[in-house]
Amino acid sequence: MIEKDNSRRDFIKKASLIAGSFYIVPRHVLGGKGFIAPSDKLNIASVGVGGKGWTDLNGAWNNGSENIMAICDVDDRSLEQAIKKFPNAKVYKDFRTMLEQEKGIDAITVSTPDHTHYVVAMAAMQAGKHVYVQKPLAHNLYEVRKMTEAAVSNKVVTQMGNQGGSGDGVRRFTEWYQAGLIGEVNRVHAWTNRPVWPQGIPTPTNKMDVPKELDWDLWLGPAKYRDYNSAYHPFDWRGWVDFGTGALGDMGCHMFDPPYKALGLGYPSEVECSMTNAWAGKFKEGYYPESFPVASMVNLKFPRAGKADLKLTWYDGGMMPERPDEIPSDIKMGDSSGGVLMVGTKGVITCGVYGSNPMLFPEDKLKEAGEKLPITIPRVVGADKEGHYQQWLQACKDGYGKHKPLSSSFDYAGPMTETVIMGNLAIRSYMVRTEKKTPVWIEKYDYPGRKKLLWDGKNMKITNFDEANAFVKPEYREGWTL
Amino acid sequence: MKTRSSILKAKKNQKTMNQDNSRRDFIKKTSLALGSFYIVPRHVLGGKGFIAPSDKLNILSIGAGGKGESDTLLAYNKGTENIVAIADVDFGRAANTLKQLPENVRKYKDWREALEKEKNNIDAVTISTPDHHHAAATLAAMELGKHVYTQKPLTHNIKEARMLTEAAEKYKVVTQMGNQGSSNDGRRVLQEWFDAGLIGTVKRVHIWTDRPVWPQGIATPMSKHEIPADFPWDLWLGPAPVRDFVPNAYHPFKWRGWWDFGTGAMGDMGCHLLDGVFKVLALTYPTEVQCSVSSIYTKDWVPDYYPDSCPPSSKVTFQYPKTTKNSSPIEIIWYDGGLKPDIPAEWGDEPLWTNGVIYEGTKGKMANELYNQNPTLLPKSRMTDSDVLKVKPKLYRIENQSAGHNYHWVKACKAGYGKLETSSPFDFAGPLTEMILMGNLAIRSYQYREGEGRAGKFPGRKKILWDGKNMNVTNFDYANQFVSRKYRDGWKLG
Repeated sequence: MIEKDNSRRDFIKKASLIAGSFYIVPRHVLGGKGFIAPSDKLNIASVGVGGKGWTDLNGAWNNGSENIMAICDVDDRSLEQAIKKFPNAKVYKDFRTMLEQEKGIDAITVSTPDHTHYVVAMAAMQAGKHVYVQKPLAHNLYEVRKMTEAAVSNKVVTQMGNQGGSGDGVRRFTEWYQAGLIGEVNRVHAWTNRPVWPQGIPTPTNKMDVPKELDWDLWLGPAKYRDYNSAYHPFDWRGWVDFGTGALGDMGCHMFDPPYKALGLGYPSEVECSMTNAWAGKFKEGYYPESFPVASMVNLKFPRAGKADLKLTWYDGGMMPERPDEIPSDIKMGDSSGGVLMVGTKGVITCGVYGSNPMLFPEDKLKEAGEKLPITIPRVVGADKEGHYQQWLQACKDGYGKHKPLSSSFDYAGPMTETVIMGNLAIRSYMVRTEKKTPVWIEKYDYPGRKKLLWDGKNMKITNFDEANAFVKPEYREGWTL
Repeated sequence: MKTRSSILKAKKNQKTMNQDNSRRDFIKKTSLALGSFYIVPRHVLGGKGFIAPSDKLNILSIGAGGKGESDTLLAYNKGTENIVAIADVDFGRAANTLKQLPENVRKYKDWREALEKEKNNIDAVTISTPDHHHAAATLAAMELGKHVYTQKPLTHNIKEARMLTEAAEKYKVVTQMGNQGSSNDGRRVLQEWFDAGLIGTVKRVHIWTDRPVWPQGIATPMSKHEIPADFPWDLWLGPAPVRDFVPNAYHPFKWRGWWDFGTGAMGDMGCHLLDGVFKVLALTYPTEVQCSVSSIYTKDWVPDYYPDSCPPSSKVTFQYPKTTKNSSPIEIIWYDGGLKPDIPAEWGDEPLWTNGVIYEGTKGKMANELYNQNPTLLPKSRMTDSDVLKVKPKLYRIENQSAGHNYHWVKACKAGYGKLETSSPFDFAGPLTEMILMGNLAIRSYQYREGEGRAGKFPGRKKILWDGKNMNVTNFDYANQFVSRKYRDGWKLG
């Protein structure tokens, strides 16, 4: 529970009452928690303020509508510009210390590398703070499930940072589908140009000094210890299974969002994948199970009550689905970051990343109908700018249980992220190998995980390849608890 | 060599037989005297090239290292045939082959010189060079009236394949492409199943391979090196544009991954994996081809650009209209570099094969492994159904299957043009190779970039529309440069 012990609010509250504002009701009357007057500022702490974290920090600040109370990063180089812009914010390297010392924080943005999303967000939620967590929600399935549950049990306002979820595009996409313009859908394709960083590479063995600005041990957090290398920090952690979630983790939450919203998808029941081989030389296979692959394709199956199964295929590393006959040859499918293609019995819908530029095909039959279709799903104010942050900030002020539905609260973002991470579980299973008893030419290994993996979602268990279950739940380093 | 039985078998399965070549009259007469009814004097039947089975076929082997080793030795057949000469740029790599041949085999570095000097001493030629030499060497041999056995893919570009297909008919020589899996019984079983209607009409076929099994998607080496004194780099380059010699970058073997010389994963494996599909469904020219390929990042955000190198993995989709054997249009999807199709529900709880084919028909699915091996109906339990067991072998089987592929060609050469059908004659292998090279044309179009770095545009990333008869891409003219290529001075096609 949050205790609003911040006395400066009392002053404002009282002042408001005196001014006759009818909409301010003392929070003990409304019950619930976290209610903050619309005219008051949220106290924000941002964990991870470089890269995407810089955007999140500024989004939460909302041009001064909110108060940046604390900033936290393991790397002074990332903190530098944040300190300059927010000189009054308290500065921390360790989020645990920050949470201990800054009791006045209302809400936290979490924009660390994927492997520390969970520990930061979980600690924040348990301390009753609202959270905005970058996508993917967490690094592995178990963490995602726990975070989904924790949002409810701690009664906090949550949003995942897939900002396209607040866009008009995904709403138009959904309206078209739900109006039946393309008929029944049981096939969806989603793709991305990621990784745009090295993958399918050997683990570095060269020694490097830890930069003096960086607390490497804290950066590692719960992950297994390894020596510092610039191949991990900054940014390229995305390609390493211990820290990142590959192309799928980076973009899956953006690309799965339109079909998730339109079709109301939940947990998948089956997953399988294939990926580009790595070759270290002629007939010499490169085996780099710590690095996500150069390119992969993942198939996910979703059972649906009273309907045929839905199959969703993911392509990354430059791979793409076939162009359906409905889309003319000279029209680019998706955009430079990727796209979504939903195939129906009467036509197809495509869009780019963040649900942008949704289009209906065949154009001669559906374009006009699409344009004429009335808007039925409420749009997020400021969707093209900072609406995704503002929606969350407003919800934090409205308080848990009272706020309007969010575009990507954890009850929605959790199952979607689990689906994304299921793909990674298939990818890691695909790399499991055992030595062949009798090698055949260059084929020296068996790969028993290269099959359709069956998922018992409720119990978070792969039922036909037990080795895969090692990837469901991580082992934490000493000093860190799951 | 089981002369009589194999010829009888051939006779049973071929429409006619005929023979030629007067130096073999002796054998002919002997046969006639023994009462063999199937030998008819050549002047009656016409045609050319008949050589008595007991006589030796005289062969020039072009390229005798690597794959050329088995091609040469299987044609030699432990001495039942005669390897007259070998042409190779690297006799070091051919040493193991030479060890197994008589010492008097003549050696040439330049296959052009070998053909010129040996043209009166040879009946047939095997060609097992890197891909970029296939067409010129094969065509030159055919023009001299020699039978030819050429490694897959038949040629390096589409125009060359078309020319070889036409030349085989024009010069009336026995031809075989080296996709030995075409001689496996599996292809015939698949065809018999399909013809019996077991899987209905085919809508889609998936084909996948783990190739390349060498690095692709890599930068062109720029380091400067001395050309070894005993290595004729210029000859190795042949008709291809000149580039600097770099040890182990191109020769041996790695030429496969460079567009100037090789044909990538698809060129290496396509002729094996698509062989059955092409035959069973009677495919010809695709009408549309589209693809995507994996990208490479050695740095953040800016993709590496290696248009010289074939990609690490690709997926290519061919559209075919209905064929003489299949009443619906067909989509054929190729996956390489380790990528694979979705595992069909009928597959069961196990990984897909490393290389394979799955046919999706209106009534069922069938699959096979590399080289048309292990033909399988899905689910596997289907294999014991009574209607399946009722399908009896009706197509001609090749003696020793794929291991007999090379020697079957030898037998066909001896029988003479038009007498004994080979598994992969150029009228079949030419169009098959063209299909594969269309896949590569789509990949090269996909790779083509205008502008630099992140600002680069990729105008060829669309569905390529193909006028097969006229060998013309109709909606992306840039791609037409990949249909053929200009040969370097001193090298010609025919």
